[in-house]
Amino acid sequence: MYTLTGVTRTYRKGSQTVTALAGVDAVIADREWLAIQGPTGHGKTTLLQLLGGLDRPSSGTILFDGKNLGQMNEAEACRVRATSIGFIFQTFNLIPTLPADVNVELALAPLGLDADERRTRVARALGVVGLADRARHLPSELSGGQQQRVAIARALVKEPAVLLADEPTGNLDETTRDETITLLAELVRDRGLTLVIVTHDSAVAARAQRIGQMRDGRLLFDGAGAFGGDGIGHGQP
Amino acid sequence: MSRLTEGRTLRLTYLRHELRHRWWQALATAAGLAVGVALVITVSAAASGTQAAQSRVLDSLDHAASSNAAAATVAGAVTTASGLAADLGAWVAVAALVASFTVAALLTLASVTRRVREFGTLKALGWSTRRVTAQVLSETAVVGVAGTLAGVALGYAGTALVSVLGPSLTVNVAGFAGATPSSNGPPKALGPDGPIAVHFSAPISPGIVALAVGLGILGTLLAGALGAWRAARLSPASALSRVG
Repeated sequence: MYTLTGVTRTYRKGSQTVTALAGVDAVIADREWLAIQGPTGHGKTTLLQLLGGLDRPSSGTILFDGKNLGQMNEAEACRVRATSIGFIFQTFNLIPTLPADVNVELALAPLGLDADERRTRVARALGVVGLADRARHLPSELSGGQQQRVAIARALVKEPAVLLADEPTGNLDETTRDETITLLAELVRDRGLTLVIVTHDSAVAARAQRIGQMRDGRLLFDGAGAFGGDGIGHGQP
Repeated sequence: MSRLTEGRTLRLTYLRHELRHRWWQALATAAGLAVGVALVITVSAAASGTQAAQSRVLDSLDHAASSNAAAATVAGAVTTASGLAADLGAWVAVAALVASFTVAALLTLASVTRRVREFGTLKALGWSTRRVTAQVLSETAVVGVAGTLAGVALGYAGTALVSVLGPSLTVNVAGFAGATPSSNGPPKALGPDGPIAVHFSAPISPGIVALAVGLGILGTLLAGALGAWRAARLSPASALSRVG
């Protein structure tokens, strides 16, 4: 799915240059579930943003399905995000003024689907996450776990190839965390999704097929975390 | 799910929910704009009324001025006073316009700035910069049109109030055969030493109304466009990293 070669990302901060990524090389296979761990400020979120086409590398290449995501202009990257990549955020990032179903439907706006098709897909996505009966509820009327499930429905509704999750359980209690991760594991299994998840939580990372460690802007794989730890039957990518 | 978006575009659904849940922000922006537009219309009308009253007084004095030094002095004073009132009115109108559009623009910008993270989320979902900008502009346009139309209504009401409460001016010139000017025809002679009575009214110029409406809507759209541009030019990653 992804092939990263020599990916760097530097920022100007006043007169200083900050290196967020110092040369990342990695291959992320189709249908792989990869967890990325590491201390705060070592480049995890930056890497996820590059994988999602939200940002561009300073150097190096990011091949996504054979196309260089890092060289795409904003319009091209926008199209990839609209069709192929679903994001899940720690703070859910639901639009507070919109009910759950419209929040989910927003992800379909760029696809040019008619209203019937949109309605069908939204209903299906909310059904998958078990919130069909909460479709008209505002985010403020939902629990944290329910909000994250709406966000997962929003990520799924476009039927993407990849889910990118940035600390998706960071704001959830332990029980809700386990439910959310189980839901993501089922989605990976049932839909053949590629899932890249950034997490501080070792219990969450342990469910992944592979764990990478971000240290000083580099992604290291040391074999920890084992493969198939989620019990969903994938082999090593 | 029956209420989803059938028969409506998603943009309108989004717009409707935004206005419903952020009504107080929209109301504040529209109210600021409405006050500005109303002041422009009312002050302009009052200035026109002052000039009209001047003309009527001068018409009445005109034929006496050649033989009566006092009438000539009054005519000069009326002209000066009227000129000052008109100048003051123009400046008040300009100040009202600038103040109200500044308030509307700042409120619009503040609203958009608070929502930068929301726009970052939309871009992460695959919304193009153009789509995000169009969403912001559609919201701004509704507020701008509503505020401007309310301002026109307020302006008409204010002008009517000025006409009702406006003083009837009387000018007494010793030895002058006074007259009551009327809007139709020449002043009516009242007899020797009679007062000149002028009722103040504030006529509304359609041109001023059109100008106020145009500037009101244009100003709000410009503010919305600026806000949307500021939001849209951020990379999705930068927008998402904003707190709030």
